Amino acid sequence: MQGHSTYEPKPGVAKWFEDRLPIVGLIHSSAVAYPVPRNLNYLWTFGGILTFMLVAQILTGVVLVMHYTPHASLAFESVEKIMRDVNYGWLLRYLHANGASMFFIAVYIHIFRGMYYGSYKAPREILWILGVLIFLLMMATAFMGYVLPWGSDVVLGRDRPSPTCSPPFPWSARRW
Amino acid sequence: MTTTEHAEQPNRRDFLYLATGATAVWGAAFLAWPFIDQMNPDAASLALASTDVDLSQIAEGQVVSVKWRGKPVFIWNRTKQQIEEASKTPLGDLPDKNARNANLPSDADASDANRGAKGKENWLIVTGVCTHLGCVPLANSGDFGGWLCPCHGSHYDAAGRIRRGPAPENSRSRHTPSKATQNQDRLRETAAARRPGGVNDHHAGTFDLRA
Repeated sequence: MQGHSTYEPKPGVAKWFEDRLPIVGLIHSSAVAYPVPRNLNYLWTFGGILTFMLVAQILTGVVLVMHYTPHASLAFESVEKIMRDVNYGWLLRYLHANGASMFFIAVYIHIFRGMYYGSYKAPREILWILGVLIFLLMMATAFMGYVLPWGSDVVLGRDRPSPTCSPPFPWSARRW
Repeated sequence: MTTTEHAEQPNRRDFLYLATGATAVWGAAFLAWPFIDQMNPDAASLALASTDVDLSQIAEGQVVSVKWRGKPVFIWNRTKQQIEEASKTPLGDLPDKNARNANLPSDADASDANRGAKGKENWLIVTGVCTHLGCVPLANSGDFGGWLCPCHGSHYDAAGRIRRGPAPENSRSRHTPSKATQNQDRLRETAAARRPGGVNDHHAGTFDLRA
């Protein structure tokens, strides 16, 4: 991995490009020519799983947003319309909502892999920090998406989670 | 060096590649279908696209106009005399010899039988839009016992066919021979919105006659 890549483009255009911006060589040496280390286990698949989940969330999310109405009094109804009227709307919504949960399960496993095996250690410090940033973005995005149906909890200003979404601990429930 | 055979027997690896590839293709198709189908008209639009009309309220000889998908539809409970008159017209007299009935092949002729539904000849259901430039013709007017379009003088007969005037085509017949045997005096006008014409194509809808 250290040093220049062994990527040798044959067509003239590719060589011209590689001389000016060696990005293809970079990807080739990291993802194609790089030999799989002998000591990996299946915990190392979660990076790829997260990539798949990101693509899945983007696809379902973009399709859902085309049926969504971003107006305070119409948002909830538009989500109901997605669930009841749009062809396979129920499937798209559940894929997206549960996909977000799966995304987080995968990211926690991915993080714990990193912490247990020391994947954050030199020379991977920047990689780890980028991961932390992605994690923060995930939390912000998930919160924003969760709020979009504009259900009555949010509208009435109850900022404590309702029993349907908080962890099932005794202290999570509303006490009034 | 031994000669290699060109045509080897397919081995297990080949089979596995083929089977996996085929499963992957089917899997991708099943996965992709909801993403494509969500673009089709949803249940709410389809609901808006149909209207129920109670036919028992239409007296013999009476013609009513119903709004469906933004356009008028004429429903005429014709008397026997009116039916006979329309059936007796020779096809040679018609400027447009095409039945214009979405339920029949596109080359069906414009006989009175082809303009309606078998067994329900008294019901004539046509789109109430003049095929010339889109005005709404007036019922019980004109020289042919049907409609007269006041805009440019197109005369339609008792089967909704153009007889005189600038209109190029017979008005669109909207019958569907009903497969239902219920005795309901109802006419359900549905938009076959999934047909190639699409939701916005007013020629693509048909009626289910339940009378």
